[in-house]
Amino acid sequence: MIHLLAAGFAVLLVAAPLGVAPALPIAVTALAGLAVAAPGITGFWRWPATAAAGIFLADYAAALWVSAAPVRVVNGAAFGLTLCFLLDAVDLACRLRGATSDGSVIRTRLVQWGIFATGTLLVVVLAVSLATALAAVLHPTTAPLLAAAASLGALSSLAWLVARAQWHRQFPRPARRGN
Amino acid sequence: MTERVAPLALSTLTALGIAVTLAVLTARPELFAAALPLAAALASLAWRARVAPVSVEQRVSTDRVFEGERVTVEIAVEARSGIPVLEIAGTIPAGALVSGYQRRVVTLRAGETGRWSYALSFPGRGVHDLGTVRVRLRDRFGMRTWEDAAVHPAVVRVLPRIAPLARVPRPARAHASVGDYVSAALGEGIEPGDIRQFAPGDRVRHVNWRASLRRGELYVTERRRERNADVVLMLDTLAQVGGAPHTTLDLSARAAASLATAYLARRDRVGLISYGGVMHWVKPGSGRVQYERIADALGRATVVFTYVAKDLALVPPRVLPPHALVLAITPLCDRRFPSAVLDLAARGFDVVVLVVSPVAVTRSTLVASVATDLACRLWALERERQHDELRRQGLTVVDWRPPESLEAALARGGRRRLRLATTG
Repeated sequence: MIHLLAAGFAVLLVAAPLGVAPALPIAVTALAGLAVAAPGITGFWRWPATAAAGIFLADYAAALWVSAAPVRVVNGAAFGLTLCFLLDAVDLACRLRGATSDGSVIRTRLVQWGIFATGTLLVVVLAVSLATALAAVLHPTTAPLLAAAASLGALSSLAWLVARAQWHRQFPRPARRGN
Repeated sequence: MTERVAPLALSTLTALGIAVTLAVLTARPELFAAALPLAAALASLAWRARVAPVSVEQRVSTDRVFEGERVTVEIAVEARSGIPVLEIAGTIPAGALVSGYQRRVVTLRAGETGRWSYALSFPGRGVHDLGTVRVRLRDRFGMRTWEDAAVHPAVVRVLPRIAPLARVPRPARAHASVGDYVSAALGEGIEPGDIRQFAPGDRVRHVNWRASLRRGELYVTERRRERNADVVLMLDTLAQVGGAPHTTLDLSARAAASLATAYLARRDRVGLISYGGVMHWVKPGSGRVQYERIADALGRATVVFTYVAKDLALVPPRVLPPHALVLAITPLCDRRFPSAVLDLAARGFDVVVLVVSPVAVTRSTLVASVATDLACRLWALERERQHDELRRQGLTVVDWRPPESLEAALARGGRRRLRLATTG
């Protein structure tokens, strides 16, 4: 079952760039990605799936670049989600290898993927709406400033996350009484 | 619990790096958007998730089986908080065969208990610890795992298989204790020996009424005394040949267990000496408990390599009683063992050497070829010469060539000895 899901995600990742730019080189690259992903999906091996993710991303980027299509951020987010689910499905398949399991594991995973996808897409849609509204108000010359501020924000968030993780590792919280 | 970053985090980080790089190179916002879910999943690493430990219970169906028998292992895991993915793995001892799965992956809600069982069969003897259950919990995004090992003592002893033996080498000397060997001397027993006239002090139940009626006066039946013997099984643990569970030591252990069972059934006192790099012994005794002691020692018997030749003088006399029948079980692969056996024979022990042929065992592990066949034949000839040498020293040598049955080997090898042996 989990193999089928992973294979389904891989097929979606093949189809996405072709939807943007239906060209032969794009199709060939997408199929190459699928060929690399296949041993990862069938052979319970994470690294071919990771390599395939890289190929799918490169193919998608090439398709966007070649086609010069209008910006569709939600499609990009959906592509990223599919990529995320492919990696997770292959990881779960590796964990299920040689083990007995019931349907609850995959069922729970599907529910979690659904929640994550909904949340991410909702955030993206809100962000796009906000950006569109702001774009109407702000002067185009402020764009570099906004980009710089966003980059600074992203870097700060990353630094904060790393510092927080380090802090937790160094000073673990004592266990609650009764656990 | 040991916390680790899962391999999925590294895969996601790689994909995220590629996505951001491509987004910068192509200046397409879609690729930034594609990187967003990957970054969100990775960001979960910064949140400190609390994991309540799970309670693991393991039940093993039995702690003692014979070779080839099955043990069922039941594992129950109770989650104190919800766990998205929980991996549980029981122990598989080396050489054991698993029916079903020894690993299980489950999703548990808070307070829920997951149960499953699997069966293990053990083709070879040994002592195995099944007490460790490994647990791995995965967080919601799969970026982080927590690992732990629950240890519950669960030792399973796999005892050597027993082959029923109708005939075993008969001890040359016996004791006055009650046993199955009928003595020439008269005394307490059930085998009729002689008839004599009634004398004051004779018990009425010994009166032979038929003879008394015929002769007109009272006659009593005298009976032959029944005796038992001390038997010491001496196991060669200096060297072994072949692959588990069919090494010469495994076969020797099975032979020793079968012989011990047969002698104990005859009410003999049976002891065991493992002669090898490390010497172990079991003091001679009788009964069911003694079988357990011997079987346990045989289950643990293993080859410990040494250059030192152990002196049997170190063995206490109560372990190697005078006039005991010593049954030396050996593949004769190490020269120190025949020396020890000859030493025992020189000290007056009644010694029978049961040779477990390593030729057949080795042949079964090799690819059949002319060279293999020739080498095995030469080896067999060399071993024949070795047996003849031992026979010339006055020892009884029984050559057992598995897969031939032990019963057949003992019947063939012990024929001459049966004619010569007397029970005093």
